[in-house]
Amino acid sequence: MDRVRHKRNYDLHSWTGVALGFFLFVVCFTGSVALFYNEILSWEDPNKRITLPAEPAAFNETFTEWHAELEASGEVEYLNVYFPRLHAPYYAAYAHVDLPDGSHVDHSVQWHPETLEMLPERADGMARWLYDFHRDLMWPAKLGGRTVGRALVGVAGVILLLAIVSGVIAHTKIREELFTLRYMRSMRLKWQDTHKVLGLWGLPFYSMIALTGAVLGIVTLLAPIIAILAFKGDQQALFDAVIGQPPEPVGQQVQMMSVDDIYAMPHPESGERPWYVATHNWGDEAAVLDIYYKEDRKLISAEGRTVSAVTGEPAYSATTDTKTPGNRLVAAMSPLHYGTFGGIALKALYFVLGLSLAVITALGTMMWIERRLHGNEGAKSERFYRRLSRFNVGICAGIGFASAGLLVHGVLYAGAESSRLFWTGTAYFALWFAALAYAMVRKDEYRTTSELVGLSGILLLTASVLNMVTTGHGIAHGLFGDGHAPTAWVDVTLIGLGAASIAVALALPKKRAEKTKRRRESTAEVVPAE
Amino acid sequence: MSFLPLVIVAVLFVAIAAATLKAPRLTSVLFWALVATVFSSAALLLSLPGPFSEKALFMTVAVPLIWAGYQFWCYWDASKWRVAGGLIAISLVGGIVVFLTEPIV
Repeated sequence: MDRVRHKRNYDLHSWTGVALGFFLFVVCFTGSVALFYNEILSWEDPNKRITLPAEPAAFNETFTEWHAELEASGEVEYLNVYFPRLHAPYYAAYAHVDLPDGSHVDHSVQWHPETLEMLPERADGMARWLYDFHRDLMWPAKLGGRTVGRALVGVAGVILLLAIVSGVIAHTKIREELFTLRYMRSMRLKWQDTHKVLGLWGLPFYSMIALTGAVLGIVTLLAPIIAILAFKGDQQALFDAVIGQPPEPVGQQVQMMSVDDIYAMPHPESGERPWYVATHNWGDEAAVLDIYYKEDRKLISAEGRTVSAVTGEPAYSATTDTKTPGNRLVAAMSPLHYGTFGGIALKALYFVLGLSLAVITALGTMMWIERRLHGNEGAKSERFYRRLSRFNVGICAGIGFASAGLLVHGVLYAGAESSRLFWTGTAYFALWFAALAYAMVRKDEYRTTSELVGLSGILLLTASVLNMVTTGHGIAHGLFGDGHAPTAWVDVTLIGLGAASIAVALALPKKRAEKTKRRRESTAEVVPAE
Repeated sequence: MSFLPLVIVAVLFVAIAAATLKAPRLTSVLFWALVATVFSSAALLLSLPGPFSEKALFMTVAVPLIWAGYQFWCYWDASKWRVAGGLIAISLVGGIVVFLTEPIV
């Protein structure tokens, strides 16, 4: 490759990495946390720490009564029923009801799997925030809503793809760089080697996560635009072509299958019990059920089959027909991205690799600043790069601090359920901005990093201890007694991560080892080459 | 079309034209690559053989790759004008195909 092209490619790598490095870091870090949505969800709500019974109580009567109440209030637009599983060991139902006055109401109810008592209402909080902040940045409705946020996260995936391709091309000695770690040399070499080694060894994972993230993100915005263009704006024709016609009711009310009979319909191959059922035209003679079976070992979130809600006989539906190559490919995106196809061990591996990707992006920015503060690059003043360096610390160490603080907030929150998500978000941004402000005021990036990482560790330990004290659910009780094992494992993980964070904070250097002065002001600056 | 949207469209058109003339590579990576992605993907969706729903599913995965590919081309090609011109040409050809072809379901 000629020198000019190499320079242009390097500019592209720097531009994607530095100009959007903070955003990439946030997406990568939050993604690592979002992997454990189910685990955090049951840890967050003590009422859902239920041991999964071998045979849940018959649910049909309770469900029928609840459904009759819904029918009396308005027209049930959709209705999904979830059956008890390990991470959600209770019956749950979600319904959207169109009211006679033109408004609508969404219902979300959970029942104990043995007593069938309704579980206390619990609004979305910490788990939802951590999960959705990665998926759509919790983008406000006034600015376009979650679709915009999701598309922005998808754009991060495309940028990451670009950074990966340009990064690989920028490496001219890949074989040597795979095994080069000069930890006893200068700070910059240490960062540079770590950036390269982590980047090269994790390349297949990072490429996969970038592509699947881009697909899951921008598909919500670009795919409809492209498809609508192809159909000259006729959205109905588009829906008919892609997902087919929805089943129409015939207007004849008949007896539906019992939900207990639906739960007793095992998967024809695996023998697994259903995960959830989506009902269409419930109560009508033409009603059908999309029954989904959770897949924990395949590259598909759930395998579906459609049956008549009256007879239980198989029926065709485009939504559950996942046998075509295109369906298989698209269905694989989510399990590949969230690592849901290989158990908790795979999730742990994803967590480590996801965090390493966040570290790579942070190191890239740090190297870029370091070369300008202590090298011969950069056209801006030393003050500018110092501020940028502090900002980098505030963003990167601050988001870890805010995430850890959110766990403590989740345990201690005592306000109204309707405000839980609002206060969760407020606490998250307050902690993050506090860390950022501290980093900018402290004026010592090395000590600030160490302090924020250490504080994050203390918050993680505090959250675990507070959880055990306030709920009385100890680790030993969960792991070896009849307590809730997944919750105990979350506590073990929090303690482990907390201790590791404190150890890292103690080991981090408190000042720059080399005392080099900035050599010269130059005109070289990272802007896209023209 | 009322007056205000027309003004907005005209201002956008002039702004993009000016940006393309001043910084063709940067405007290409930020704007033309996305436009070319949308139109070439829609054209491919219409012109490739096979069931529409299946093509749409494959296109879902291909779109980010096409977009990243166009963006990468912006920096790979030595000529900044070839990049901008190429992406505008791809958008135009894609637009013509979309305009002339009826979807076959």
